[in-house]
Amino acid sequence: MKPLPQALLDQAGLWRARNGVQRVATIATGYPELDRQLPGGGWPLGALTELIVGHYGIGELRLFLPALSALSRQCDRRLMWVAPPHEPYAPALAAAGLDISRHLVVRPEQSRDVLWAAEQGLRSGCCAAVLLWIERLSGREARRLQLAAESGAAWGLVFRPPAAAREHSPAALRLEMSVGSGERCLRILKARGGRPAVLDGLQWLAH
Amino acid sequence: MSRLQEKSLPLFSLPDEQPLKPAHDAVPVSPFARPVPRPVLWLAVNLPRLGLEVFGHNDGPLIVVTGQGAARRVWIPNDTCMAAGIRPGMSLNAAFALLPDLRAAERSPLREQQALEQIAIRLGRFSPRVSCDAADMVLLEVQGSLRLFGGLERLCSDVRGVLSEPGYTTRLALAPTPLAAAWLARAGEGKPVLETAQLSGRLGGVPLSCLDWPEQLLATLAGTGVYTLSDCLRLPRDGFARRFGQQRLDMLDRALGRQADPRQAFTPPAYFADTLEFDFEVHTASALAPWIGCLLSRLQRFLLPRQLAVERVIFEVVHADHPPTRLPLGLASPSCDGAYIGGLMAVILERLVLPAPANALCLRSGTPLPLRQDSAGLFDADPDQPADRHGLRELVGRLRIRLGDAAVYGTHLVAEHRPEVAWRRGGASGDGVSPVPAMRPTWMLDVPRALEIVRERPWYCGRLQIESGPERIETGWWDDAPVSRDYYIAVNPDGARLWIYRERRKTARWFLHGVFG
Repeated sequence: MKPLPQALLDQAGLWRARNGVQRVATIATGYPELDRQLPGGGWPLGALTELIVGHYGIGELRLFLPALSALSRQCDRRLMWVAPPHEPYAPALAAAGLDISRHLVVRPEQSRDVLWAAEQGLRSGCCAAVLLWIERLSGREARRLQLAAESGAAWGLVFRPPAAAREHSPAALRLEMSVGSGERCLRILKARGGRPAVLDGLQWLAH
Repeated sequence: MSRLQEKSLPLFSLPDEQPLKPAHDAVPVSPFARPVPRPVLWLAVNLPRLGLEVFGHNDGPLIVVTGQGAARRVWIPNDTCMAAGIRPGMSLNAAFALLPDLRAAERSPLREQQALEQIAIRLGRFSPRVSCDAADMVLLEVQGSLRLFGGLERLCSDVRGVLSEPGYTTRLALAPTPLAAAWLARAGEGKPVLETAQLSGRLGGVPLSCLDWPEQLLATLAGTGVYTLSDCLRLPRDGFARRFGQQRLDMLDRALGRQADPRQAFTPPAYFADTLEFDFEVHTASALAPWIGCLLSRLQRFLLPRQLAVERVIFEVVHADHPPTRLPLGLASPSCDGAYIGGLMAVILERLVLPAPANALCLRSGTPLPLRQDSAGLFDADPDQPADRHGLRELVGRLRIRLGDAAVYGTHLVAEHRPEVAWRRGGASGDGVSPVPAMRPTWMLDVPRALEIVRERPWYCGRLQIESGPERIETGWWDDAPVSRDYYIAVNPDGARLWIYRERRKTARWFLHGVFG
C-alpha cells in the first residue's frame, strides 16, 4: 500500500483506525462485576464520567465511593464537590474510607459560576476528582469540561437528570442508574473504547 | 595659621586600632571594660536629580523651579533643556525665552520625600542601618554587609542596579563617617575612603557648597578666601567656633570621626501604601493591569526583604468625579508573591466595570504578617507535591474571590454524637478525628425537613417503608440544642433510602434528615 502523503498526515482532523483507542489511566471501581464491563478495567481518569440519575438516594454516590476513597488516599490531591444537592456528610464519608481532610466543597450561589468553578478545579491539577451536580449542560460546555479534565489529569464526575440521557455528550463514560420494581439497574450508555451494557440486579451495590 | 592647625586639629585615631587581646591570655574581663567599637563604613547614595526625576522620565523639555513669583528660578533642567542652554539658577522668564514650549514644574518636597522613602525601603535589603535625614541622600552602614554581598565593588554595583530600574541618577561614596560619605558623594568623589586617617586628606578638596550650609555663611566664608574643606580646616578651632558657631565645628569633627555621629535609623512604614497617577484617563478595567503589576512588584519589594507577607490587600481606583472604586482582595494564605496576587486580581478585573474613567490607582496592604515558607525536599521523590500545594492555594484563592469566602470550604470531623454537629466547615484543608462507626447517610440536609403523615405513616414521594431502626440519639442537654430522636432508615417507592427520625416529644413529628446517596 502506498504511504499517505505527509501533508495529509499532518492534518489534525485525520484519524486512522490503527491509531486505536488511547490508553487511559483507570482506577478500579471496587466492584469486580463492573470492572469487567468497563474498558481499561475501571473508571477512566483524566476524563469525564457522567451518571444520569433520576433521584438521589438510590446508591448513586455509593457507586463511586470505593474509587474516591482510593483516590483520596493515593496522593495529596483534593476531592472537590461542586454544587452538591445536599451537604456531603463528613462522618459518613469518613466511615466509607474517604480522607476528609482532602475535601473541598464549593457551593456557588449562581448557576453560571458552577461550571466555572468545576473547570477551575479540573484544570488546576491539584484535584484528583471533581464531582459536579448540574441540571443543564450543553455539548460545548461538556467538551470544555472534558478538555479541562484532560489537562489537569482529574476525574470529572457529572451527575445529571434523566433528560440528559437523550443528549449527545463528549464524556468518556456515560452511565444511567435507575430503580424499577425495587431493582437497581445500571446501564452503560457509552464507554469510549468499550461497548454499551446493562447490569441488572446490582446486589453488590446494596449497602 | 598653618602651624596653628597642626596643633589645634590633630588627627584622631580610633580606639579600635589597638590590637585585641588574644583569647588564651587568661585575664578576667572586667564587666566595666569599654566595648571596642566596631569599624563602620557608610555608603552614601546621593540622588542629585531626584527633584527632576520624581516628575517622570519623558524627553520633553522640563524644568523644576523654586522660589515664589518673580523670583522663581530654574532649579534643575532636564537634558533637553540643558542642550538648549538653560542652566540652573536662570530666571524662569529667561528659560521661556530660550524654549517657549517648556514645561515648568514646581518643586515638590512631598514627592521627593516619598521617592526617598521608596529608595530607603529598596536599599533596606543591603543593610539594617539605613538613614535618610537629608533631602537628596540615603546613607547605609555597610561594613557588616560586605561579606554577604561579596565585597565593596559587588555591593556598589548591586546598589546601582537596584536604583537604575526606577531610573534614578545616583552618585555613591564610601567613608567611615556618614557626613564624610555624604559630602564626598555630593562632590562626586567616587573613590572609597576606608580609613579614618585618610579622611582629612581626602575631604580637603570638597567644596563647601556640598555641606548644606546656608548661602549666607558660604558667602561670608568665600569672602575670607575659604572655598573648600581644606581651607576651612586650616582655620583655628576656637576662632571658627566663635565666629560661625559651635555646631559647625562639631559638624566638621563628626565628619572627620573625632566625634560620634549617631544616626536615626529609617523605620519603614508598618503598612504598604502607594499611589500611581496615570498620565491619561483609563476607561476599561483590563487596561489597569500594567499599573496593578507595577504596584504589586513594589509591594513585593516592600515585603520580601523584611520577610513579611500580607493576607489582605485593597486596591482603590480613583476617579475624577466619582467616589473611588474599592477592590479588596483576601488571600487564602499570607503571601508576598506579587505574581500570585496579580493572578487573583485578574479574576476581579475580568468582572469589573469602571463606573467612570480612572486617573489613579492606590494599593494599601493589610497588616503584614511574618512570612512562612515551606522548604522543598532535596530529592525530588514526590515531584507534584510542592507545585500542588502552590496550585491548591491559587485554586482556593480564585474560587473564593469569585464565589465568596463562605462558598468554598473544607470539612472537619467533630467527636460528637449529634449528627448535625458531628462535622463542621473549616479552612480549605482540614484534619480529622476518627469517625463515628454508626451507619450514617452520605447526604445530610442542612435543615431537617418535616414529613407529611398519610394514614399514620410518614410519607415522602410515596409511603415510606421502615428498613431498620430505631437508633436513639438523646444527648446535648448541656447546651442550647438538645436532641432526643429515634432514627430509622426508610425506603420510599422510588428506591431511595432515607434517614428519618421521630421526635421524642409530645408532638412526635417525623423529619427527613439524610439521604443514603
